[in-house]
Amino acid sequence: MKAVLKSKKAQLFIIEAFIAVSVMIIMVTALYEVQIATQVAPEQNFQEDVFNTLRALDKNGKLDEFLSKLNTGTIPEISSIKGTLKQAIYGSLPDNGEFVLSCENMTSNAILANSWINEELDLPKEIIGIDYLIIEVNGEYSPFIIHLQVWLKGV
Amino acid sequence: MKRKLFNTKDRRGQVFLLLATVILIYLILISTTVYQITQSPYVNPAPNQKQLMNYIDNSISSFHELSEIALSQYSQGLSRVEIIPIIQLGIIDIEEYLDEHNLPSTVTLDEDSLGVYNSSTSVNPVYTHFECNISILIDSLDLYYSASFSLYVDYYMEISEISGTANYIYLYKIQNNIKSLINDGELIINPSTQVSNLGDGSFQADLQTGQTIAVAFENGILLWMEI
Repeated sequence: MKAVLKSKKAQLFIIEAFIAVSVMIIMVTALYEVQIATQVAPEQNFQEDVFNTLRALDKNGKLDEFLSKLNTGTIPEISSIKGTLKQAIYGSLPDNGEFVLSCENMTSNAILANSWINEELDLPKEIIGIDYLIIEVNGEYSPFIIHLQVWLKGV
Repeated sequence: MKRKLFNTKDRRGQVFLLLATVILIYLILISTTVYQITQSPYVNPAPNQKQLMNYIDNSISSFHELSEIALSQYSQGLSRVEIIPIIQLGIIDIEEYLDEHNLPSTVTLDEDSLGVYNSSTSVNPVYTHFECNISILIDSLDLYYSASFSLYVDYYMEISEISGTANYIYLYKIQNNIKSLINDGELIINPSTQVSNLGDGSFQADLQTGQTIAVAFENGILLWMEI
């Protein structure tokens, strides 16, 4: 170590290396801080909120109404119940949250063509899948799975 | 050893310093990336027990839906023996749903415990009752879950003591000791009389001895009462 300290060249090199490393650390930290300041903070466990919303919609009979309108309802009735579901699900998502919803008949394993909500949206690479099982619709045995694909824009 | 390593006159010392600097930079970059990944809302510690528990919760609520189906079908004239296969179909669907979410399960209905019946139509309150025991076993790498449920559900129609012209009809259900008031029942009183829905599970009507009251709940469950 003494030899190093005696050599001017070595001292200079160590100082240079130290400065370079410090600058790197400062740059990385600064970059990270800028990211935090400019990005919307990702909300943790929003999938839990979405699940709870689906549960509440089920308890209030809204999912039953949705499924029975898909079978027998008019186009305005279907649009109206879809609007209710949309509002409730967006309400449980962060501001930059998006979702696509569809409904699968478990007996035929087919997606109900008129069940889509936000079908026109392009799915990003990363999404969260949430499924919700319904066994009974208006007292009848009618098994369906509500498929929900959720993501946050800009994350 | 240290002297030699840090000696910048020596080539080895220079290389060592250079390497140390590069490794340090890489470490910083890797730790920053790892931190960012763990902060992503899409990444959860695997397996996500909460999410799996949501699927189990959903299955349990489906057991309650099976109770509603049983009572609705009973109201429409199906017998206990005819209701059991419907419940079994529902159980297969629940198992399939859990299986699709990496929760291989065995759901068992205790058929002997399954009971469904109506009370006498002439005794206030009138009710329809369903009960059964269901057990569930999930044995997966992510989660082990074993539970048994006794499902009880009763739909009631009750009337106040008849005096004067303002009498009350109450509609409610009791599911596993939890009482819920029901506002959306459709009442038909014969001979006909004016009925007002008070919005709190009670209805006001001028009831007379000798009338019959029929109620149809939204899920197709029916009850009758002879006053």
